[in-house]
Amino acid sequence: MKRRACCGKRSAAGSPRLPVIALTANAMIEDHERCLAAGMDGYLAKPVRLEGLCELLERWLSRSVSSLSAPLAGATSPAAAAIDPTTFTALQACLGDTFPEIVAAFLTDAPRRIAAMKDALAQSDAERLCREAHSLKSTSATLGAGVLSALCRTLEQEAKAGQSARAGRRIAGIEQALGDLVLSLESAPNTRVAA
Amino acid sequence: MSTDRTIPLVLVIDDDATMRLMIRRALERDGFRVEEAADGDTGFVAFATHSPDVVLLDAIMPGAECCRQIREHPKGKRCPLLMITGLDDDRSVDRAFEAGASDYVTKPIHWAVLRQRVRRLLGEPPAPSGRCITRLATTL
Repeated sequence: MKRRACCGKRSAAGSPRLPVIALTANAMIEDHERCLAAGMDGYLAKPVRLEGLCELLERWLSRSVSSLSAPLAGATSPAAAAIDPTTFTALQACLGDTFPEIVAAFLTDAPRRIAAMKDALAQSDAERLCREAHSLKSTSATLGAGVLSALCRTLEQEAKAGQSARAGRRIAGIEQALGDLVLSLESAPNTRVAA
Repeated sequence: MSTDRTIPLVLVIDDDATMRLMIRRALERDGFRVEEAADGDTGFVAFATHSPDVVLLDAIMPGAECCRQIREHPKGKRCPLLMITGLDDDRSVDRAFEAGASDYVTKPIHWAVLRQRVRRLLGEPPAPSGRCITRLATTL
């Protein structure tokens, strides 16, 4: 019903043809066809993938949407996903003006932990690897860095179980997650530390 | 930091410097004095030296052994001792109570919970809703 009403109004307006894109949670091919049959020009399934949205917009607006995709990309990029805003805001509220000091301490400590993980792996010291992963897991979780914390948890569990085959890759992933977190913190308010 | 002896003193024993700093700053903002130690041995010495009103102790590092040691100290028999354990670490919770812990909080630390537990262990009335309660309000 809504499909037809929407496209009907478009044709009645008499203005240049307005592209209509269906946005739906139904991912079945029949739904796609029904939307097109109702006069829609495109179809986007939820959850919306940013690339899919940009592709459709570029096609129907006949121009590049890089200016649009940049801020949008920020909203779903690993850097933005690096921090859980609820935890982060609660910690900020609790620590007030001492918060930047904590962030600075974390950012000094985390690379050292990662270096220690690499060293522990090179020495085949599973116990130390486990301990370092555990520490970084805890502090990053308390800071609200969920992705980093989850990766450390996996490494900790594998190290505890004596599985070291993937440890090198896990540590590389942790390093990447820390990089994303740094980017994210740089854009967050009230995290900068006075030089 | 204030040295006023009427202000309750919390001893934080945790091997992680960032975690100690976070806890220190949060508790200081709530009006407590804080001493810290990075391992069980220095933690035990700090306990004997400073006679804290509450001890906050990480369940893994230094762990339950430090808790037991403090409990065996003459001043440690009745001192409230709060263990910090992992959220999913049932074993640490059990070990903490076996070693004589008064209560526990989990990591990641929920700041409002930490604040109220420390106050309760000190026999103080619950803190009025304040800075750290914001989180409760946003998650309810």
